Amino acid sequence: MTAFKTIKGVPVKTISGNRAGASFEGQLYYDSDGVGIFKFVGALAAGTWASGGALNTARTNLSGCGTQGAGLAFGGQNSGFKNESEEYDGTSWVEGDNLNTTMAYLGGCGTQTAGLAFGGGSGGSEVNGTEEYNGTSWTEVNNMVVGTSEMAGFGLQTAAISASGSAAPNSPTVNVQSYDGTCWSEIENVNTARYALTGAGIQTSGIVFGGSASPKGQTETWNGTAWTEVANLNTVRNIAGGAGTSNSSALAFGGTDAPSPTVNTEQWDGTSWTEVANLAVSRGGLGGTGTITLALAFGGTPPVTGATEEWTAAHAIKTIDLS
Amino acid sequence: MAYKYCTATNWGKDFFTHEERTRFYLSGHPGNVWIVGDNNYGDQWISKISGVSKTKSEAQAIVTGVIETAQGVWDNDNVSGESSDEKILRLKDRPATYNII
Repeated sequence: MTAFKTIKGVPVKTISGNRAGASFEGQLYYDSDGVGIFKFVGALAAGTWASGGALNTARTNLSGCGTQGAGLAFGGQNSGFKNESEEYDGTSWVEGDNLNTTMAYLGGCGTQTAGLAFGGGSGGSEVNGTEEYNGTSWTEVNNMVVGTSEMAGFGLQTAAISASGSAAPNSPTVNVQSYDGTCWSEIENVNTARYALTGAGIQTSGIVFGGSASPKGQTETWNGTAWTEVANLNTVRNIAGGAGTSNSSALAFGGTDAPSPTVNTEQWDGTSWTEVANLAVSRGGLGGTGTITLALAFGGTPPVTGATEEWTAAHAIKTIDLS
Repeated sequence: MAYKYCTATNWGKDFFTHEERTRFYLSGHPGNVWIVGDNNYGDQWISKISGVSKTKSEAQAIVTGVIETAQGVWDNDNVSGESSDEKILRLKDRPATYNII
């Protein structure tokens, strides 16, 4: 143990059981359920989408955040704009407190108990409102600097990013805004202006992909300081779903390259996109959240649906017995 | 690859599982139409979900009918003074019919 810490600079973590969905490739850990058992996290196995509980309010162009087992969906549209907010427990969606403002094409990030909704549109014009969710109710807080819709939103309630999107009057923008839990500020612009793009990650390590700018497959990564153009999606699309935790770990799923929506799912490894297993139901305008091992896809169109699918891709776990 | 066609309402969790997704082709379409890979596992799934068997042409007609209804909703969703470009920005593209496999 001492030698490992000396070599790697960190001690071996102690984890209970396989924890495959929460581990990362190359990780060595001590299994507290065993005696003298160390485990090594191998490559990610092929993932699949399975059905989950449907949203109570079917809608498209909604937003969401959280995890596969504790998700949050809010806003959207279906014969009008929506303010419904629903919580997912890994099996079913339960209606919670509504947003204060009806909105679609909005950004979202955070967790089920600390969510953030920002921007959006409700009739062709962008708004700059921001609301925070505390697990019980939504509260209006300080507005965005520039009203934006169809942006890529990612991060946490206290450390969020709104990248690119459509800014008044309905124009794609390169602007990026950062939220610190109190105020929004302008930060480094993306390279390519576009709307209907998707994002994932945290405030210091993110990724945006797809969107309206031809050929609709552009991808840019964010390291907390600058945006870098990287390899394009294999299947071009906009209004896709997304999940992921950093600029080297993301999923893109669904979306549309008019007129047809796609079931295509791709995984980002920090260098390139690789096609993986498809959604069962093709759709654009869907919500997405989670990680590359445990993700959630919900809602979308056409026709407007509340269908939910759960992505699971486990790492292979190898046991190293040192007893 | 050969396919079977059926209709069934997606009840949510475990309507189709991860294990089932690895065993046969499956895709969902408007009107609760499901295209299922033609093998024993696909047959078992159709039985599990109490799928109502359809011919390909029947399935296509259901899909097209639902999309045409969505097209009508899109066509009738208008805002006074709104241009066609503004309408697309608000509603995205008009739903399009397509041919199932």
